[in-house]
Parts: sequence; C-alpha cells; structure tokens
Amino acid sequence: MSEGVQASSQGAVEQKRTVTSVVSPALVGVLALGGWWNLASSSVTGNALLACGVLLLAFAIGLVVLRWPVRDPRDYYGGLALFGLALFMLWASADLPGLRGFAFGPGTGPRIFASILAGLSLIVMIVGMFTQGPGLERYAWRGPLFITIGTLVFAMTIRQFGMVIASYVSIIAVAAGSDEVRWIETAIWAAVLTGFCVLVFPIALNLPLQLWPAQTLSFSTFLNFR
Amino acid sequence: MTDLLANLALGFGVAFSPANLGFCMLGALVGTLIGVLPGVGPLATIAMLLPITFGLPPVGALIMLAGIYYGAQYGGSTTSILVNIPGEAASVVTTLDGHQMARQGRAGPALAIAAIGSFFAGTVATVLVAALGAPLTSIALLFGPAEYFSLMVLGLIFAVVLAKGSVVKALTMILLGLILSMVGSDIETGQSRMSFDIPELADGIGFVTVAMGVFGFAEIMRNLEHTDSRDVVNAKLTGLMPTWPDLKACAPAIGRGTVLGSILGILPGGGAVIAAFAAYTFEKKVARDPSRFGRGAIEGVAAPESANNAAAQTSFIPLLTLGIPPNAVMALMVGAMTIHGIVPGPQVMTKQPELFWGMIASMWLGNAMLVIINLPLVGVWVRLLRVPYRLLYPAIMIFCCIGVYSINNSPSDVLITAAFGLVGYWLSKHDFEPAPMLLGFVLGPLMEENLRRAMLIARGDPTTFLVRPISAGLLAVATLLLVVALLPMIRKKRDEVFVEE
Repeated sequence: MSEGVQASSQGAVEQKRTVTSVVSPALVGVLALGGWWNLASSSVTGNALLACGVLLLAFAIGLVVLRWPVRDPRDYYGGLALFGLALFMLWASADLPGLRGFAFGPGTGPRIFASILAGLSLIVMIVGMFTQGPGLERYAWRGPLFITIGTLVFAMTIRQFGMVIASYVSIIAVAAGSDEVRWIETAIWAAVLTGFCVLVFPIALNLPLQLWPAQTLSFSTFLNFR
Repeated sequence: MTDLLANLALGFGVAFSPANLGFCMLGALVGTLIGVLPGVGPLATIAMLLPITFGLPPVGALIMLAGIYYGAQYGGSTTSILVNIPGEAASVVTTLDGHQMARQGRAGPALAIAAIGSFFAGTVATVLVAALGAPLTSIALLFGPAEYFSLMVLGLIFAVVLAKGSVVKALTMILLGLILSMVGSDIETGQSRMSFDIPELADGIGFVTVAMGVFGFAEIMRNLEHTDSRDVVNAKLTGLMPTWPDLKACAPAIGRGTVLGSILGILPGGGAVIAAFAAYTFEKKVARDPSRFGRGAIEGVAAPESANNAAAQTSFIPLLTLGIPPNAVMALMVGAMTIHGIVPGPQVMTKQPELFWGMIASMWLGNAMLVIINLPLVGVWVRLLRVPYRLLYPAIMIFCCIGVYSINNSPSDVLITAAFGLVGYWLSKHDFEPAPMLLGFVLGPLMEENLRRAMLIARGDPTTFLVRPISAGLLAVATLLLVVALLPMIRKKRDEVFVEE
C-alpha cells in the first residue's frame, strides 16, 4: 500500500520535471543552431553544431511525443549541461587552425577533447534517462549566494579601497550565508579577522597588499576594478 | 649506498637549517589546523594554504608544503577518529575502527598510533624514495613523448577507476579538466585559444583558482547546507599513550601496512586510497579474530594509517622522477612547483640536488614534526572542532580570497574562483567528482604537448603509441583497468568499498 503512495508522489515529481527536461535540451539545441549560424561558413565544426542542434530539437520533440522517461534527472541534466559545454568549446575553437599536414594546429587538441567530452556526456545523459536515480538534490540558495556576493565584493573593492575595508565588508557578506548568523557577533568577529589578516598577509608574509583606500578614489576607477 | 647516504646527508643539511625547520613546523601546524576541520580534506587544505608559501624561497616553500601536506593528512585522521567525518576517501577506513575506539574513551591511543604508524611508514618510505629516485630517473630517459602521453593516460584512468560513482562520469570530468586547461595561449604557436579576447583568460585559467573554487568554496557551500550538530567525542581524552599490548598488537600491522602502501603508492593514479583499503582488508584477513574489526580494533587504525602515509610518500616518486603527478594532491604540488619556476621531472634531481634531497629529507622531518607537535596538541584540535561553523567559515573564506588575490594581485582571479566555486557546487549536486577534473586540468598541457610531439615525430601516424613497446604496455594496462572498472559486477563491489557514511 505504501508503494501506491510512493508511485503517485514519484509520478508527480516526474510531471513537474518534464517541462524543464524538454525545454533544456531544446534550449541547448537552439544555442547550437545559433552557433552554426554565427560561424556562417561550412566548416566541419559548423556542420557538427548544425547536426547536434537539429538532433537536440528532435530529441526534445521525441521526449514529448514518445513520452521518453527521465528517471535520473541528476545524470540527465549533468550530461546535458556538459554536452552543451562541449558544443560551446567546439564553437569557441572553430576559428583556430587545425591540422597542417601531420602537425597539430592550435585547434586540433581542443577539437579532439571537446568531441570526446560531447560523446561521453551524451552517454551520461542517455544512461540517466533509463536508469533509476535518486532525483535532483535541492539547491540551497543562501550559502552559495552570499559566498559568491562576498567574494565579488572582495574582488571589486580590494584595488580601490584597500585590504582593511575589502576584508571587513566581504567577511560580513560571507557570514550572512549561514542561517545561524548573529549580527553583533559577526561585526566583532569580522574586525578581529581583518586585524589578523593584516598581521599575517602584508606584515608577516610581506605580500604587497595595500591596506587603505587609494588616493585617487573615484567612481570611474571603482567600475574599472580590474 | 654511499651515494645514497651522501645525498641524504645533503638533504638533511638543507632541511635542518633553522629557517627551513621553522617552515616545516609552521606548515605542519597550519596544515593540521585547517585539515582538522570537518569536510576539509588534504586537497582542499593544500589548495587553501598554497598562497601563503608564495612569498618564500623555492626550497622553503616546498618544505613548508610538505609540512602542510602531512599536517593536513594527520588532521584528516584526527577528524575521522574524533568526529567520524572522513575528510577524504583515504581516511574513510580510519573512521571504522578509530571512531569506535574514541567512543570507548580510547581516542588518545587511536590518535597516537595513527601518528606513530604514519611516522614509521614515513621513515621507511623516505628511504625508499631516496633509494629508488636515482634508478627511476634513468628509466625516465627511455621515455619519449609517446611514452609520456601513454603514462599520463594510464594515470588518468587510474584516477577514474578510483573515483567513486560512475566510471563514465569520472571520464567526463577528466575531459572537462583537459578542455579547461586549453583555454589561453597555445604552447607552440602562442595563438590565444577560447579566451574571447578577455585579457584575464589570455594566460589561461590559473590552477589555484580552479582548485580553490571547486574544492574550497564549493566545500563550504555544501557544509552550510546541513548545519547538523557534529558528533564530537566528548569523552575526556585520558591516557594519550597506547599501552604496551597495544603497541605489540600494532607492530606487525604497521609493518604490513607500510609494505602495501609503499608498493601501491608508486603506481600512478592515487595509490593512497587503495592502499588504505587494501591494508585494512589484509589485516582483517590475517587477524585471528576478524570480528573485532569495526568495533575498535587498534590494528584497524594502525594498518590503514601507515599504508596511507607510506603511499602518500612514495607517490612523490613518479612526480619527482617523471614529472607526472599521480593524484590530485600531487597535481597541486606540481602547480606549486611551477609557480616557483621549478619544472618537476628528471632534471630536478641533477640540476637542483639540494632541492630534491632537501624535499625528501623534509618529508621525513614533516612526519617527525607531526609526532612531536600533534600529540601534545590533540586537546587543542578537539577544542577547535567545537568552534561553531558560522565563525569558522568566514575566516576560511577571507583567507582564500586574499590568497587567490595575492598570487597575481589580480581581482579577476578572485572572480574566476567564485565562478568555479559555483561550478563545484553544481558538480557535487550532480554527483560529479571534482578530483579527476583537477588532475585532468593539471595534466592537460603536458598531455597535449606530448601528444603533438609524438605525432610530429611519427609523421602523423597514430599507431606510434601502439608500436613502441613501453607505450603499448602502458596503454594495455590502462585499457585493462578501464574494462575491469566498467564490468558491472566489479563496479558493484567498488561501490561497496566506497560506501558513503
């Protein structure tokens, strides 16, 4: 009896996934076709992109019409994303010269490896359709978001504002990534850590890090942070 | 023999200079400090601590790195025993009996025997590295581009076989690493490849940014997800030293672990993991009462820890003689060496003898440091484990940020690291192992270069890899391994070995 409950809940999950699982290969297919259009010359890479794009679109239609299952979404999406990346790399290396006689050109290596990656990721994706998997894991948004924000803040402020301000602000931003954050404690802890970093990196290890804001601080230098 | 002694003497002369001694100790200390944090394995530790060695002279930096490496490994064992969270695959075995011992209030002896076993294994393996280094260098001279390429293929296949989960997925990760390594300037023509005219990408993607993003940042993101309380052993750590019967029971186990580990460590492709598992299984086989294992048998801690450490040490052999990193940790070491302008390989030994032998001596020294500093400090590590994670991770993050920035004084490196952090998080959500990717990333340029050279020498004939005997042999072994790994029955067994806690 519990089996029936499980089956119905799993059915619901599959139902919810199908929209994304059809749209994503279609999207990758459209992007591949866009890459083919963009290359605008009938090179081998262009033809490969055209073929893959058409194939993916046909595959997306097949998913709907023939009701192919997606049993292990983890592998399915993982394989699909890597397949897309391989196509992207093929597109990106399309302008590089290939074999000259029997000598490898700059583009030969990337093309070989990207093609193998494309093949392998297709296998991962197709195997993921037909073997039962544990289902997608839930993505937490808070930790990754604030950790990324904190890192971005650090990258954008370190040049113009110096290490003290950059460290302090980014520690606070990063600390917001935990559900258990306590703000007063964090403010004090960030100050302690900043002091420690100042002692370790510029002073003890003698790294050339600027501590305080630059004299020529202006809005335009801030935007041009790199 | 006299050569060996003279070389070792040279090495110890370098390693025992006060400054280098200090670096080694500092490295071991900081390595343990970070390595003891739950969920941070040796790989992540080294990735995080790498930047602090940049300001040092090459010899000092490598010695400090060796210290960090052993510290991180020992820290991982400490966490395995006290908290039951293995930092890496190799210390999974240690949790089986080690944590049981800790529960019975015998955490002290477990930690001590891990250190003593590691030290003994390290001593033996150091001598082995010193003895085998020179003869293996002459073998390296037989290696042409084709052989190098095949050897790297073999190493990568080893990494695939040892990664947990699907073989095909591990292969895709290797390919991903290879293709990422090709971003930037082409080695031969200098043409910029797949860099989209972004100046930051013109030099290629830095391996520290990849390693720190995929291991450090992604690890923290994952850890933030489950804030479950950690099961730190609260029993008081009384009686640190193992008793006489303990030592007597362990001595043969340590010996067997050392032998197994030394042999398996030389093989390319991450012998440490397989060595630990093999040593544990072997101990269980030869034990009079196998049922004690898993319930706090001290041999179950001693053997895998010794094997693990011996393998970690002997894995330096392929790195120092052939310049090929056998596993992801060694791949990080290669990166560190290249940053200091050292190209690992047969030339290191002849051109920079004080570096080569100094490093070998410092391996032993790093081990000794662990016994000396860590046994008295166990109490400190336990207290560190009780520091709440919400305070710990911002500290790790800011060290990483400053570290990455300080490599090139480049804010865009920090941005790339953040991006790879998200990539690593995504990979872990889809059960892709990042370690093979890092290995592929580091081997990528070497592989492409040797592939191109081999093809050029053979005038475009790809059968050169199969005609040359050494190359053909290596490829045959690689194929065999892959077939074995793909056989479903063995795969099932493999999954059993890598049961996740």
